[in-house]
This record gives sequence, structure tokens and C-alpha cells, in this order.
Amino acid sequence: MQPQDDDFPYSSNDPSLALLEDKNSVLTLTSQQVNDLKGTLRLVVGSAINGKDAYTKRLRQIQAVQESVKPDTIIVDANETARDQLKYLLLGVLFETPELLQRSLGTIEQVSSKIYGLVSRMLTPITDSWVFSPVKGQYDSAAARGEKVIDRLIMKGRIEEQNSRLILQQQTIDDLVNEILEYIILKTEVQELIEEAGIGVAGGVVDEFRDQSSNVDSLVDQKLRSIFHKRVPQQSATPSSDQAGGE
Amino acid sequence: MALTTSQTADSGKHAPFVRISHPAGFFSRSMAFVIDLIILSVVQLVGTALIQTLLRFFRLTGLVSYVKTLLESSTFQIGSGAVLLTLLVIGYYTFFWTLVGFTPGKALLGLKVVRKNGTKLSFGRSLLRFFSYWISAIPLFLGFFWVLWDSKRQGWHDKIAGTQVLYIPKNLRK
Repeated sequence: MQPQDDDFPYSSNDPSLALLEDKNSVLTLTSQQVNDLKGTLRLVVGSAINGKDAYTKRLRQIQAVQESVKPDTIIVDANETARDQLKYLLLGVLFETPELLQRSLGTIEQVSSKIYGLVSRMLTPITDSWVFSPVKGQYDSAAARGEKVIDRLIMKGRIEEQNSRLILQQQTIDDLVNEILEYIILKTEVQELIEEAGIGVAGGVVDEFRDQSSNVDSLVDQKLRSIFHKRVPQQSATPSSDQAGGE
Repeated sequence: MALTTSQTADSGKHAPFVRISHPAGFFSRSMAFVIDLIILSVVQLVGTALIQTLLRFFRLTGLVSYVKTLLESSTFQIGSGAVLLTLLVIGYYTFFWTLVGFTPGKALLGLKVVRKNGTKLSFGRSLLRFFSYWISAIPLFLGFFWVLWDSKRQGWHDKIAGTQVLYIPKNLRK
């Protein structure tokens, strides 16, 4: 291969170099690709917005005509089994949970707010000191810039919401959604990745930790057996015949 | 402690995982549960603190109170935060149980939740197991302590959902 002179930019007809140029160009997005990406985003956002609207509308229609059942109208079936009662108990817990969580969330919010206040008070002597004043100025201007950015993003959000609604009027998304769901369900790589990461958490310390906790389990069992003459736990799960054949 | 294949020759149709493992004890399971609770609490607290800090940085607390008023005036009285928290907790457990059979806490302790026949839990069974936690918790956590007495080391939630928690054998961890 003959050396070329040092003129720059270097030009050559060597196909391998042309290939390198093509490879680099993969890293840049064309305006068409950016538009495709925006279109996909609009489709996803539009599906979510329209789906939520349709769901809310339907739910309110149902709730409007449905009368709530009062406790005194309930007739308890004489043949009600323990299994039925368990089902009702689960349902009761299910409907009680959101309110319970709502109350606990309030507490958590208060706690996190207090933590924030406490940290702020602790940092106030530092942030109010002359050493910190140049930084404080920058912080204020950064906050002002941040507000402008947020305002701009909010306006963009308003525009894109309309765009997303419009794009859905031109597209039937059912097939597309089904295809995507099918693809995700059949995609086992994600599942395998998490499985390997979880089971493979093995190192000297972790293994030792696991062995020790397993030893404590055995020790607890031994103590309980000696105190209460407890039966020896089965060393393997015995598969029951009723569970063997699927759900 | 592990069983040999000959001891379980009649269970050939079941997953090999069940045949070579044995049920996890109370201590390991409690540790795994506590680790999961810590992870969930940290995620929630960090998330809330981060959002609050960001909102205060951008001085958008006015927007938050506006959204709050909007939500309170809505027919849906359930707080969006409560719903999100519920979804986070339910999603955390059901996602990991259904997909791989263990939560991060259980993975750290080398435990796995499987059905009685050794197969993975379906989404419905994971949900049932999660809500059965409440059944186990209501009578002063008796359903959890049941693991100590039960010959198969199953809690009430395991019995309801037809599941068991096994040690992951060492040769399968690598």
C-alpha cells in the first residue's frame, strides 16, 4: 500500500475507510428519525390519555347508575363455608387497604417534610454565611432559570397532549398494542437477566450470611423441638397431587 | 440435608428445584422480609424527599397545592399518593414473585418462593399470596409465626396460596 501525502482533509478510495465513516454516522440521528421518535411518543402518550379518558368516562357511567349495597340488605347464606368467608375477608382487606395507606402516607409525608425542614435548618448557618453568598447568588439564578425551563416544558406538554390526541384519531392502535404486548411476554431475556442477578448474588460474605441464617433456622427448630416436643420439619417440600397439574 | 433423587422418585413430574431443596426457616424468612421492607421504605422516602426537594428548588409548591385542590374536588377521593404507594408495594412483590420467584431480600438470603409442585407462581397466585399476608398479620402476626410450628415450614399465606419458600441450593446460585 502506497503512503499518501499529508494533505488534510485526507481523502481515499479505500472501501474500508468508507465503511468506517458509515459506522460513525450511525451515532447521529436524522431529522426523520427524530420525527419518528416523536411520533412514537405521541402514540404512546395519546393511548394513555385516551385510554384513561375512556376508562374514567365508563367508570363514572357505571357508578352513576349503580346503587351502593347497604349492610342491612345483606342476607348471609346459611351454607356459607369457611372458604367463602376467607374470600370475603380478603375482599374486605383489599377495600380497606387504600384508606389505611392514605392515612400512613400522610404520616410519611409529614416525616419527610420534617426531615427536609431539619436538614434545611442545619444547613442555614452555612448557606447564610458570607462564604456561601456567591454560591447562593448562583443558586437563585439557577432556580429562576429552572422556573423558566419548567414553564416552557409545561407549554410543550400542552401542545404535545393535543398532538397525541390528534395522532390517535388517525391510527388504530389495538393491533399495535397487541403486537407489543405479545413481544414483551415472549421476550425471556429480561426474565433470565433478573433471575441470574438474583440467584447469582453469591460471594464470600453473602454465602456466609446465608449459611449463618440457615444455621439459626436449624437452631430455632432444635430449641422448639426440645421445649415443645415439636415434630421434625420435613426436609423437602412434598408436592401434593392436587397442585401438580397447573392452576 | 438435601434429598436424593431416589427419595423422590414418585415426584418425577415436579421441578428439580423442589427435589433438591428444603423449606426455609423462620429466621431466614424474617430477615428477607425485613430487608424487603427496608428497600421499600428507602425507595419511598427517597422518592418523596427527592420530589419535594425538586419542587422546592423550582419553587413549584404552588403547583402541588393546585393539583391537591384538583384531586380533592375530584370524585375520586383516594389520594393519588396512596394509590401509587399501594401499587408500588403490590407491584414490588408480585413482579418479583411472578418473574423470578424471589424479591431482592429473599435473593440475598438465598430463598425462593415456588408453588407446591416447584413451579413459578402465576400473577394471580402472587396477588393471592400478597393479600394473604394481611390474613397472617391480623391476628398479631400469628400466620407468620406459624412457620415455626408447621412441619412444612409454611405460614398461613403459604397455605392459602399453595406456595412454599425454599432455600436455593448452592449449586444453583452460581
